Amino acid sequence: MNPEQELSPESEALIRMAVAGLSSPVGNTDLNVSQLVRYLGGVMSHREVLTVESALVENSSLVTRLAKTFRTLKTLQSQTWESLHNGTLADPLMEEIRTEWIEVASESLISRVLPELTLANFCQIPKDDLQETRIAKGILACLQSDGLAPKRPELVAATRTRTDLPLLEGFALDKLEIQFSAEIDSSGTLIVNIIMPIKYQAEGDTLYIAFEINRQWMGLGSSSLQSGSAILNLPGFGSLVGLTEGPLPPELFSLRMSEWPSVCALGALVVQSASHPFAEIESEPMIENGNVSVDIRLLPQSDELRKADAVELWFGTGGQVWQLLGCWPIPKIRDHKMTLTCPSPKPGLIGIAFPGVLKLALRH
Amino acid sequence: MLDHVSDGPERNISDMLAAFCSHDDLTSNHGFGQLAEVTRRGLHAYLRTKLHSVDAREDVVQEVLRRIWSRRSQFQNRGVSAWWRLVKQAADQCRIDYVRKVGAERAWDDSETGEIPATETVLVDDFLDSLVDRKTFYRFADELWLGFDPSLSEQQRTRRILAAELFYIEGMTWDEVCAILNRNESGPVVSRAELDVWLEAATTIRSLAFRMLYRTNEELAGHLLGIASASEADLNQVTVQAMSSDRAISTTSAWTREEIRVILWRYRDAERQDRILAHELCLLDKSEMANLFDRCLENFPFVPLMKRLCHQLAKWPKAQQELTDQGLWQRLVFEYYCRETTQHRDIYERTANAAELAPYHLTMGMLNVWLSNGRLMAKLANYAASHAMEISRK
Repeated sequence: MNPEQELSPESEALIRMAVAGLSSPVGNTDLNVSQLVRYLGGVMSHREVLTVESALVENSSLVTRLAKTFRTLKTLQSQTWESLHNGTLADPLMEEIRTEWIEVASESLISRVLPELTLANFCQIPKDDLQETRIAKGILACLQSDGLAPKRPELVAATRTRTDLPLLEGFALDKLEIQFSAEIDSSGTLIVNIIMPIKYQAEGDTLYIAFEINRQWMGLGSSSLQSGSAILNLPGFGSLVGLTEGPLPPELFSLRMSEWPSVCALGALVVQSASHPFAEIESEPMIENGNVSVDIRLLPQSDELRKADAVELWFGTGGQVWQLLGCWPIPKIRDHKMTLTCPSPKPGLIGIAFPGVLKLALRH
Repeated sequence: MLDHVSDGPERNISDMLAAFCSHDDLTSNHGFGQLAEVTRRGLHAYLRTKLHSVDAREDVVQEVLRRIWSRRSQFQNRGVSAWWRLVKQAADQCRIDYVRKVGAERAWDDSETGEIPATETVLVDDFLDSLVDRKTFYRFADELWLGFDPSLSEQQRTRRILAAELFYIEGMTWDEVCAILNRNESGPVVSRAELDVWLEAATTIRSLAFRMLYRTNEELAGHLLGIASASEADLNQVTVQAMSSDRAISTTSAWTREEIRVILWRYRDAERQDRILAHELCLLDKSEMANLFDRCLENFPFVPLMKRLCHQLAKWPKAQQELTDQGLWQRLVFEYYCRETTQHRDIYERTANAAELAPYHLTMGMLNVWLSNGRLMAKLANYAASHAMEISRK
């Protein structure tokens, strides 16, 4: 092979002819507003993303349009749902983005009523139900954004009936040693084997396992205690969070016992965007009369709360994207309780727990 | 006329040839139908510099296909490259016959007519056999001149270029870029550290520059004529208006009807100046045409594009330095040569002034050396051969 080789005009012409004859994979050379909004909304499948990104790279003007759409969405996402829904924009492109975004955001909530809003139930959403699977993954992605999901999740176990057990003096519930192991099997099921401490080996009791995030519990699932141990199976968990088959390293998460959480907490996907929690969630977020409603109790000792002017409630639309639902000024006279009520992004749902993840934040 | 119609997705040419050689008539017919579509594309591109009119080219294409089909019983499948050599040989012969028969057409470009030298068959054959589709050809070019890692998938390359455009050209922050790239289920999450590596890589900057500076013939013609979209439909509409002698059909451009015709011939169709002058609808003389081309040159988009690119990269001297890399300018020149025009002067006009701002001093002499005697193509063919050897070693 000669790096300095030349080619005759005949050879070059032959190559050019052959290349012109070769097929060129047909790609999309233009993108509409709906595609850009869905791409930025994080609601596209892998195949759709490939198509969009190829088109973007082929046409620089599309990247400019993408940037404009991104900046417009950023503004829209920080408007309350009521303003977003009722307002119109003078610029036709921005107005089109607004309309598309409302549709994408409202579609990001699960439409069915889950018996309990736990990861176990998310994992059991039928795989052919692509939209809901995508929504479930989107909710997890939202929790991973903003650093809300702990890097080393602490699982918490509690039994509903054992909280009245007399404890030895000096005995702390959360210091009880629990042995456990976890693995993902070949079908993508998470299997957690838990051996309870002797004092908690009550046959037939239901053991609830949850992630603790910002003092809120995100339900993982439940299992009944048999012979002092419980096995928690979460089919589909592996694929949902992207874990491959095999044992999970022990340092991946910890597990401790706790008292049974407040009624609303288990299954309530309300997280708080602050270095320390600034509110207690006092009721399960519900959709009633076309409104989202949740009761909170502000924690007056919170430093961040003292510096803030208002409380914001956001909902996760998937793809680490949040949309503001409402904003309420912090009462000057702090009776510490607030009822946050605002129009629901999915008016068709009535009388159910909010089917998505909510985030409380402070506005300064 | 041959009416072989293929249906279904296009297979690779090897499979088509195998089907064409089948003893089963239906399979053979179907295989030839697919070959005909592929061959038609190649023939039209080959004949563009040799026959003036589209109708003349189509007549020759039809005759080539007819001859090959009529001699199918004698056809032996010797591979993809052999097929194209057969097609080229038939095209050269059919064109000469056509010119003799019609008489009106002069053979404008005979330099490529004839068989390829025996010393080059191995390189050419190996090269053509390695090309699965057109994208593979340009992918090799990206690896050779822009420095892309061959192990990167198409999506990985795309994401790096997209990240660079969002960051350097659109002025987005790194966290905005990461937020966009990580929104969907499209592979591993891109971290800040990884994004930094992408954005600082020489190959990313060169690819960004290449995409910012390259314009197709349609885009360039559309730009000169003030057509925003430069879509085929828009350009065709302008063509119909410009070619019409009906003064009631007005053009909306700042150029006269006669000027629009010449702009379309020169920049969209890549016609040579002598052929434009010989066109019966060309009403400009040589001096008027030269004046028109000077005005067009002043309106070329390449210097403003390069100024914008330099301005956006000004804060990152190391990135800006990549604009002076010879590989970038060879890649641009090669792309124009393969896709848009073989006229060295045209390619020079699209690249030199922009290169000067890099600064990279590109002269006509350098460009002639690159393109003459197929040097760039030979370099690419050798690269593809070494790549194939590497794959087979692994």
